[in-house]
Amino acid sequence: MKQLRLSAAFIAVLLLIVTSFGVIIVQGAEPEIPNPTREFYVNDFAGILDSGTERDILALGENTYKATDGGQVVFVSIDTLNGNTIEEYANTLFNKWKIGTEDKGILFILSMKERESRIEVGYGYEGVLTDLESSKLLVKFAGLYEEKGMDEAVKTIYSDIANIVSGNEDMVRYPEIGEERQYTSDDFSFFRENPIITVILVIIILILIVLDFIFTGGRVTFFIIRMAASSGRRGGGGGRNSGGGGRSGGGGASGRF
Amino acid sequence: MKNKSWIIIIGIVVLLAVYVVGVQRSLVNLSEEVNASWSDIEVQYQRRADLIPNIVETVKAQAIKEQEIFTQIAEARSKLSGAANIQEKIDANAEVSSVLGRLLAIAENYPELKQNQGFQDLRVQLEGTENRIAVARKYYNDNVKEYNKKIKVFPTNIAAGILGYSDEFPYIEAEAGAEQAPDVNFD
Repeated sequence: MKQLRLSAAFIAVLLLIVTSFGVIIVQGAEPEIPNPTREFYVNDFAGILDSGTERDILALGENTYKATDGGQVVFVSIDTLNGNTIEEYANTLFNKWKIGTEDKGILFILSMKERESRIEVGYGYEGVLTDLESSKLLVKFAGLYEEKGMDEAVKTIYSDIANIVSGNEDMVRYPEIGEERQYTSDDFSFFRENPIITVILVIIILILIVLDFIFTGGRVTFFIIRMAASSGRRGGGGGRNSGGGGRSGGGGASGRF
Repeated sequence: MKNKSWIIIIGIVVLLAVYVVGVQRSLVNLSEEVNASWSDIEVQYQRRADLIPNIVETVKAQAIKEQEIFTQIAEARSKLSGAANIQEKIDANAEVSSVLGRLLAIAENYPELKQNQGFQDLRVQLEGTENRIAVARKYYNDNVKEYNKKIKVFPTNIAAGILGYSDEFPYIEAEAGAEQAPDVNFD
């Protein structure tokens, strides 16, 4: 009797385990994504760039990382999308590589067999590089590729993107003439336009420094200088060559070349 | 002897209660995630809806034959604003998507429309939004799958039933309109 009960309990437990493991989740076919190269910013899987171009892009990518406090612009070329759409592929790659710190990432990808291009924009840069601008850059890329070849075209578009995320958008030329955008000139225009206020501000700061030296022996001044120096040093050790944890929700645009 | 069996019964009851509370916690977390991913989609749906008036205006400016498309768009939009629950909103947006796809297909037949810069720009924005919807939809469906599994599959379904969680979240099918939309061609 006791044995019967035991075996009944055993079967019940077994059933429970089987049913809970029985649910196999069939995942939708996701594109197979290669791992990033050690350079991270330039991943020429299709072998379309010469090594000089790759070096230039890498240097620009590392500088952009420093200039934007963690922003990452990544170039990828692949042979084929293997039947995936470029949108799917780009989004999966972006989120797998985790491009950009605080979602400040941009992926510029080319697939050679399909002759398709895409600029995928991370959440953090959606306001900085709009879909429309991405699309125009891809049109510009197609034109440059015809005129000047792959190396020049990739380098130009990459540095355009780097300029945009670094706040130098006025250096970027888009293919249309029709649309003129108003850019705020630069951060110091206020001081240049108001010299009297600037002079007063400088005098106030000087007085504060003098007071600081008189009353605390310059402690506050040194503290501020140290802060400024350390924040400048932070980015000094060469850009990070791996993903910063960024995510993309599918922003950007696709094109052909 | 009597005491012992009481202890066992109380033990089992306590264990079951702990289990049910655990299931409840995970159901609450999962439905939070579903709701969060749903509101991500709604943001993009709204973005697309905001583009429609501009697109309609641009196309209307280029006298086209297929005037019935404007009635269809108006119908889809009124359905959109009338949609109350998630399922209705999903359905209304599917209709918006397909009617927009049709509009773009029609535009293909009008070279002056295809070359209109304003129209091309709107189209790029529309494509960007459709792509964001596609990405958001994937996350939403993944979350829904996990939630629905919990309330349907043994043994968590029993606990979910006790707690009164029985409504599954609806999945969102891929929208046909977005895939039908022809590629932008600037040549």
